[in-house]
Amino acid sequence: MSTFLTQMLLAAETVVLGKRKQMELALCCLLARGHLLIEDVPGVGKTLFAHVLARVLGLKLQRIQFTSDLLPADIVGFSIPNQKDGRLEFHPGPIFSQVVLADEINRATPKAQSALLEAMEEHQVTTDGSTRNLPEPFFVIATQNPFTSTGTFRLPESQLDRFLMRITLGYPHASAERTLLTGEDRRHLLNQISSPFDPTTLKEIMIQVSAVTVTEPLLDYLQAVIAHTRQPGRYLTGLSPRAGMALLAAAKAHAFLAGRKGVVPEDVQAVLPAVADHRLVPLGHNTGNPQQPLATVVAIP
Amino acid sequence: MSGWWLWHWHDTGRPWFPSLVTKTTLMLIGLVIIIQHHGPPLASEPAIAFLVTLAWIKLLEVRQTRDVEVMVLLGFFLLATSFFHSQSLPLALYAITITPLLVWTLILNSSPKLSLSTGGRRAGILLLQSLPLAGLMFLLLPRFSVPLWILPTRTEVAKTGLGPSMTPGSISRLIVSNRVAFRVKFLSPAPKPAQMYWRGPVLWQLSGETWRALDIPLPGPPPTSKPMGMRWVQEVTMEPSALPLLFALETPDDAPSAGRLNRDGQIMAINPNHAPRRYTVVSHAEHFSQEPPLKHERRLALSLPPSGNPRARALASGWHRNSTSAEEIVQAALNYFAVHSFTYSLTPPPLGKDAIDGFLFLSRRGFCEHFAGALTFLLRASGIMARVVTGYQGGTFNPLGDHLTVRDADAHAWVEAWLPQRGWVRLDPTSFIAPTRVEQGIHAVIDGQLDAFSLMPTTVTSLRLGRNAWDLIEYEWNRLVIGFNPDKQRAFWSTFGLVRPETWELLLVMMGSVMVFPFVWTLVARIRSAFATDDDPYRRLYAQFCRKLARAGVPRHPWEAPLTYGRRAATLLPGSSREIMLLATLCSRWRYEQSLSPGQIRLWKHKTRMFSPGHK
Repeated sequence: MSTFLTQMLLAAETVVLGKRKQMELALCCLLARGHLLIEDVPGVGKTLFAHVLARVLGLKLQRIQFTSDLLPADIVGFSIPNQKDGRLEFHPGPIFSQVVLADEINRATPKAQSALLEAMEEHQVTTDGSTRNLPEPFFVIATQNPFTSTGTFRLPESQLDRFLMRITLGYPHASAERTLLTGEDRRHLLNQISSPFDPTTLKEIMIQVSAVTVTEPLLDYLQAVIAHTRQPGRYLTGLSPRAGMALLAAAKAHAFLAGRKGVVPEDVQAVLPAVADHRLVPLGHNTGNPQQPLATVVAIP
Repeated sequence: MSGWWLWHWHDTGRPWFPSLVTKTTLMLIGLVIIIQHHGPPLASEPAIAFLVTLAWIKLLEVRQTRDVEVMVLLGFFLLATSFFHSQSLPLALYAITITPLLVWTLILNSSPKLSLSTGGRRAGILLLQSLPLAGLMFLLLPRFSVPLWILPTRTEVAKTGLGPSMTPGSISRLIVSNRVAFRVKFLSPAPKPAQMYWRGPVLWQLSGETWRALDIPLPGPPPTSKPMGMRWVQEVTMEPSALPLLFALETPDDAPSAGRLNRDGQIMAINPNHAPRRYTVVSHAEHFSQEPPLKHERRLALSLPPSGNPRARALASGWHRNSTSAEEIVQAALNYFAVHSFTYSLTPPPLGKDAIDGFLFLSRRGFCEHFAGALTFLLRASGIMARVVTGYQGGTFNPLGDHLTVRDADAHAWVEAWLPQRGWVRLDPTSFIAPTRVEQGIHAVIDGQLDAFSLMPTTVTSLRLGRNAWDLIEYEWNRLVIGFNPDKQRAFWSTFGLVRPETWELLLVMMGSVMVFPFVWTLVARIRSAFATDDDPYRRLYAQFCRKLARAGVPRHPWEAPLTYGRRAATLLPGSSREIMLLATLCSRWRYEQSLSPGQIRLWKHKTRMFSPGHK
């Protein structure tokens, strides 16, 4: 495990308790230049988790609270005439930030959602006929309550595909919860953590991540996984080519964090649930007993 | 004793190790018993018995791994010594059973962590691997017609079968013996049962009731003769025998290489029949010879004890007076047996002082030795040269092996008389009294006279089939394994172009092969691994790694990549976790990171070859 990851995880763990696995995956996601969706019931620390993540990466975070009356302009910004010369002046919205925390994304209307999702895909926004680039790096961390909550607009599958990973946090362990109950205020602690590196280092790291070796046998395995999901009768739709690329990018990041020069099947298997599960809808007949995890189904060629 | 020992262990919680004094006493007691039973311990049998005693005492002081090793080695040695005694099939089967057990013990002893089944599998593999070498040794190791050393053995005494003498009852005693004397495969049309006279010892001398062979065979070459009648080619596989004879159908043309034909028409073996042997011999139904007997032959063939059996002498001299030719006298003698109501019986009444008189005039019940002895006596008394011939008559045909099995039960005695125009002529008085004996074999006559237990009833089909099958297996074993004698070995080698190789040449070839074998093995392995480097060592080495782990009880799941698999195996097999993790990492790094140096590849290869995980 690389020193960066160790440092970052240690820093994060002072605030977020007992979520090492999720933190690792989230870091993978961001190092692979992907957006992260955190899905869980209210109150398990989704927002805090996102804050910590931005903090350990040393990035600026802007939070957008999604509500049903949120307008696209509230996200991307708007132009108003200048008082002095009457020319239109653009006021950038909260999206012009390195990390955007889109809180409770499924409470907004599809119109507002799509404004965010477009920006995620293009890394740029177009308003009033002019295109504006978003800062680099640019990450969106969205949180979402499960669709059973009332008054929500569930993200369609096509939109979910834009998130590299979806993770769930779950309830904390008893010991972590005890510390949580007796310890300091988490938000207060948040201000104390600092990133082990600056944005330029982060950029270098991301270049290194994309340079991790990928061998033919590994690609064989990756394609075997994708082919498995495309077999008729298993899922509504198989993994898309974009999903395949996402899977490889995430696996590369995972290999880098583990200090390896090349991606091993274990890296793919480690990120597979987070990358693939939200893109796949299992076909009806086996909803009763959940399908076996993909990682334990596909044979290593 | 063993029971007491175990009880002591159970009772006191620790095994009993006897003191030096106890052990010495035990050894001395053993020695005394052996000397009492076997005589001085210089012969092989008492020596082996003594070794067994020592091994038994050694068993009482087995404490360490090393002691077990010594015991196992001793076991191997004792197993080998048992082949001094016999080379029969049951003993071979016994050795085949015991050897794996000994190897198994040795393996489990040296690696106590192994499970029973893994140890057994390893022993099996080891023995299977040694089979080619054993086969090579069997084919190549020089055979000696003469043993390299001869320990005095006492086994001859124990061997039953025909002896060099005949007393009333000596042959009928053999009837209950199922021991196989020899087996014959006919390479020509087989003779009729009534023609199958297997010539054994020729008995010249009568003293009291006993007919004896000459201590020193008659000197001189066999008489020149002309073969006549049917020609029979026999391949005989003989069991060990105390008699230094090679059996053949009457009358053999010439002796096989292992024997010499003497004047009596017997084939004398050059070396004693300690082990089964195989030879081919050609016989003709008759050998016509007009050469008169030598002077001392004439004297021997007419000699009788100075007194006794007056009635028989009187009868014979009557024939002598009233006949004009030898043929007439012979005819009269045979007529006597045909006319008077003689009975063929296994249990003739005991006869008194003048046994032949008693048999001829009173009891008239007897077995072949009675008839043959009495006829020879009568002929000699009437001035006809005669002698007793013992041997075997008939045999049991085994349809499974297409061979004839001659047992001790087929022992027989008949008479030869010398007639001026015809030479020695076979006369079998038994064939007058009990023609079925000669035409259908001994069992046709005597089955009714024996109780069910003393002789296996040959009429029950399934029993006969089982007996035939066992007979066939034993025959093939003797023919192919034991009978692989120097001649056969040479013949085998001549098929490879080595015509009549000398012993030292065979030794050289064998040693050469044994030395070349590992060399070729290494070469093949080298070539294989050299090609494998160019290809992908992953496939080979990883497969080997997985195979070894699977054998240790941790098979790979198909979805497991090297690292995951290695981690799981390392937890399950903590004994070799370090090697497992190393090899798994090397496998993974070669395949997915392509970052192994040549040195690491060599290490990987070496470690994979040496890798031997303990069992789960």
